[in-house]
Parts: sequence; structure tokens; C-alpha cells
Amino acid sequence: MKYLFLVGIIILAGGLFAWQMQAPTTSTSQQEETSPFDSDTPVVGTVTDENPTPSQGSSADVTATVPSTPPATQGTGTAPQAITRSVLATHNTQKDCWVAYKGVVYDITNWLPRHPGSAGAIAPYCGTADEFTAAFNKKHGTKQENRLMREGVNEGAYAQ
Amino acid sequence: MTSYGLLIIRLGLSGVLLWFGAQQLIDPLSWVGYVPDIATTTLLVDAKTLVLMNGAAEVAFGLLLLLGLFTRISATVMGVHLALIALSLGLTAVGVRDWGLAFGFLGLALTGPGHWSLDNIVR
Repeated sequence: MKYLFLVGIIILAGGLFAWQMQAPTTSTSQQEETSPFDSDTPVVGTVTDENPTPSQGSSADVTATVPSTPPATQGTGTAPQAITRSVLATHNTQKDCWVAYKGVVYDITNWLPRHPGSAGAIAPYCGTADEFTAAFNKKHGTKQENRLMREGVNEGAYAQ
Repeated sequence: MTSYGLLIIRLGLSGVLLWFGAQQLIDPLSWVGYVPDIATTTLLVDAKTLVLMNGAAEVAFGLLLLLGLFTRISATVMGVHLALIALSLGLTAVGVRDWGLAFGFLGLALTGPGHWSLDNIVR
């Protein structure tokens, strides 16, 4: 009798697994499946348009430097400007958290609540590049690079 | 009262498993971020499939614990499972919480299901 229950539960769980394996991806999850490097990745905008800072408009602040990793924006007709340190620094809260890693700026706001080590572990490094990179490498080495790139939204190149 | 205590512990722990298992089955892509890269590379299974497999297993073990069926075995497997997760997370808020759950499962494995269980009723 016990084994009948067991078999029933295994069949039920297996059926759920098989059913979901064949189910199409839900719309709410579609963005997460999309690579942050795809051409249609949403981009917040240029540095000066949406993120005013005291140094806005400074030629020294917004550079044309293009790091080794290309930004996500494509097909807009104009090359996106690199995101500067001062602009990056404005996204320094848990509700608006950008970090720079190896020349690319990632928006990890939506990932923060799901960070296994808690959002609070990353929050101090929101809006930073060197500090985040150092903490990330110290904690994860390079093991979690792919996850960062998968979970973060590529906002563009980082102008160091 | 011990039998009621064990029932509450069992129901609570099975509820945790059923909730997390169902969430993983309903929206697996929200959970792929938790899958360690080493799991996908060594098992040669993509992250979504791993999440679904894990979700199905947690639902199955959750139901077993809910019914009090093969309780000791189920609780042991889930205790080790949670301990491995907690170990991978380290001493973080989530990691410590998972250690607590793991010890709860292992404690249940040692005590057994109690009076109010199919293990006790169906021989």
C-alpha cells in the first residue's frame, strides 16, 4: 500500500516535470532567458539624457573610449556613449543598482533580491566598478562571471 | 503532545518543500540564477532542466513528508540536499537559514514521523 502511494507521487512529480519541460517560456520570464548581449536588450539611454550629474556635459566625463566588450545597443544609427564613473555612481542603491565589471556596466537591480548571498551583500558595491570587481573576485573568483552576464542587464560600456 | 509536535514540524517542512518546488516548476527561469555553473557543466544538463528536476523532486519529497510516508528516508535526503545548498552558499543570511532547515530535516529523520502519519497507519 505504501509503495502504491510512492509510485503515485513519483508519477505525479514526473508528470509535472515533463509537462513543464514542454511548456513554452512564460512571458514574465522571457527577459531573463534573453542574453544581455542580444541586440534587442533594453538600454536605459545615453549617459547625459537620463542620468544628469554635476559633471554632465563635460567632455572629460563622457568619452568615446570603447572597451574590449561591446555595449548592447545596436542598430540605432549612433554609437552609444560609454558610461562614466560619475554616472555609474548615481546608480548606487538597492532599487537602482548598476555595477561595472570588466569594462561593461550591468544593471543588477532585479537580480539583487534573488542573490543567494542576500541583496545586502551586494548593495554596498552598487554604483562602483573597482570595488565591485574586487569584492566579486574575492568572493567568487571568475566562477560566477557567466551568471553576472546572464542575470545583469547590459547597460553599455564603462569608461574608466 | 510529542505526536502533535512532530506533525507540526513535518507539515511545516513539507510546506517549504512544496512551495519552493511549485515555484520552480511554475517559473523555472526565475531560478536558473541559483544553479551553480559547475552543476550544468558536470551534469551536462541545462540550467532550466536542472531547476525543473529539482522542483519535481522537492514536490515529491514534500508530498511524502506531508503524508508521513517513507518519512525517515525523505527527511534524510532533503536534509542532505539542504545542507549541500547551505554549504555552497556559505555563511550568508540565506545560507544560515538553509542550515536551520537542513537540521530540521535531519532531526525529523532521527525522530521519525510520529503518530499522525501514513508510516504509522499503513504497514
